[in-house]
Amino acid sequence: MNGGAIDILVLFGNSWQGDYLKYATDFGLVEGNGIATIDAAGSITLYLESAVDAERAALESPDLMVVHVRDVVGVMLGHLRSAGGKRLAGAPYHLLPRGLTSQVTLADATTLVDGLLMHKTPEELDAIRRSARLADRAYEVFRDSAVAGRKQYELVADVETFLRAHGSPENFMLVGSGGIDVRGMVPPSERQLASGDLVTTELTPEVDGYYAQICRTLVVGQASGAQRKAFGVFLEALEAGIASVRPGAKASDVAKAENDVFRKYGLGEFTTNAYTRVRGHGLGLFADSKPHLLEDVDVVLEAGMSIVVHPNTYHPEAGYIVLGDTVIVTDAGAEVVTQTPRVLFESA
Amino acid sequence: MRRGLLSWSKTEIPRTVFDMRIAQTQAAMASDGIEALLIYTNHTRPAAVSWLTGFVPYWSECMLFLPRNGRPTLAAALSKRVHEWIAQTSWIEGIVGAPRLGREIAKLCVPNYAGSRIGVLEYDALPTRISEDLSEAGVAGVVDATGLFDRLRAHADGTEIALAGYAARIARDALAKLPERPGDITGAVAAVEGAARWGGAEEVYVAVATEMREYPAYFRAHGLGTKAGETFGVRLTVAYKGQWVRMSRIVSSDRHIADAVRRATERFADAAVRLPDLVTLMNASSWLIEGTTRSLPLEPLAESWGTGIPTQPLEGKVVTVSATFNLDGNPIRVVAPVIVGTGDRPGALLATPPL
Repeated sequence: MNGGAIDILVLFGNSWQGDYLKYATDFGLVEGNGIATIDAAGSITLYLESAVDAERAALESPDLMVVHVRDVVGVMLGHLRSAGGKRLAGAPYHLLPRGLTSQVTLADATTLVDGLLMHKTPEELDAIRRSARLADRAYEVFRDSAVAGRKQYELVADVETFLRAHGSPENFMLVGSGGIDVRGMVPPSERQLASGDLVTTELTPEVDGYYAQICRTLVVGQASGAQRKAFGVFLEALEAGIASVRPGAKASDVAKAENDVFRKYGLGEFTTNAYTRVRGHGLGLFADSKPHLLEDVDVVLEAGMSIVVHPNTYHPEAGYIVLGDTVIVTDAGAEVVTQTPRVLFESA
Repeated sequence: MRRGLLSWSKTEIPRTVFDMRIAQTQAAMASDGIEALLIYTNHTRPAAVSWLTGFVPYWSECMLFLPRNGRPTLAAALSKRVHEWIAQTSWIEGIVGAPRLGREIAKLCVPNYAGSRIGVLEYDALPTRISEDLSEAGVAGVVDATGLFDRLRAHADGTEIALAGYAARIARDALAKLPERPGDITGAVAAVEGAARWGGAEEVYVAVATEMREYPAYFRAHGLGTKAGETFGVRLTVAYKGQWVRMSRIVSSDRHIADAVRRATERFADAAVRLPDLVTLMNASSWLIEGTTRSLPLEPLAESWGTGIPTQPLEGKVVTVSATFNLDGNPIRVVAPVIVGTGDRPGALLATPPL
């Protein structure tokens, strides 16, 4: 607990941002909000507002003290007030309910926990490797399912069915399909795939609590010359980004390596936030962790970190294209753990 | 994250439905002296904003600003590139990009509502950064508006009932895909979840009870190798166009237990049609009633291990009831969605769990 500076650590989580809480409890929330308290002796109590998640936690995490409460904030407030004189800290501080932070003094422990989340143990990295293998196989399912006439949500349903059958309980996944009118990826719609479409996905299964991501693009039918030419830029950018991953490099170095390729081809405009969010990001207990790969992020990469490098963005002659691989930072540089070929696939 | 079908069917939810709900909300705001209402939404807490606008955040967080007069504005932490998608899938015209939601919302509050009461749904649960940004920007006069929303959503409207009914049918049809002899539970989960997603579900959660005779509780299957027991239960949670329901199915290779499941389902149906009268439900060894009132899609409204008294009137609400009946020494838990009766209309199951 930060060298004795914290007596009770308060971790908040929900089904969107659950990694801080999961780090301490090994419990992934599905419904409702939850707060865990950890004292200096390592005793953990998990307060959950969902009755069904509380029942699940009692089964899945029998070593935890699990409490179902409708009013998590009110109960936690009483608990923390009764700990008078103890030094309290919370994370992620910005998401903690104001009903707590406005009533008791909580130090911000977000940076402390971020450090724990970014640096993985060998066991955590093995889980990410297993997740990456499953991501590769799930992308094969995606390719097979992406045929003309298939609706986007049916395509995603096929992938999800595969992942559940192979023991993955959760997945972060966006899709896009169409031509130069498509400028990003979103959840699936009823749009039917059509011949000539670029079909994009980022697919991020969870295995044993950890996420790995793969980003690929395919064409329904045969790729056009413009699509192939555009894809070549993304391939070069991904290779440049991965080549820059090494201990001591900064997140900004990786982003710059990717973006320099676009700038070389006069496409620098498409590396800005008008067209793309990040050039990659951390992976672990959350599908979109720190560090974000951007040219203004100076987090230093260290061995044991895991990130996805993805120069995903809009190309004016082809549309939105994605290409990305999960990478583990090693003492020697980078271990690429997703293995799907980096090609512009063509489907039937 | 949400990765099922997210779309706005104007046939199922005409724009006039959202307009009516917003008008009702604004009338309640006028009654309570609230000039602007702020509603936070994220993946976990989508229900209030989706009821008003149809918008469901698949990821990240947003905040809806609703003035007492005028149309709502959504401040979205999602990338600006997603704004077009938000506009396509919901009835929101005003969308502003907001990496810091509180700061952007404050720009809407401060110039026009100084000295006014500004209501926040579930104010105490508001994320700290948003609350601090609002305060730093000079937003004052903030009051909790949870009670206002409780009144608004006391009864389900016809659209909610229809959509919940559709969600219930997705659940029923998906559960019908559960193999009679499930074997490895991941295969059973995949069969049910895949069917629900192919059926157009917006969200799907599957939980299993590997041997219900020993312990009628549900957990999330992950990893490989766990086998279904002789009496295997699946609880399926389905969202469709913002309406959430749960339903269970229990399969058993023991014909005596299969008969107990049938009898438990009959008892459940008998109790369901009598709601809001809880007397018949008291025959169950434990029970839970969940429904949607505020931002959580399925929040506990009453449970046997608590006071047993609903936190709010149940009449006319769409709820999910979970009840465990002890039959011949076998605990059998049945879960299904119910439209609770009113003085004018008896209660009814939205769909009967498949046997």
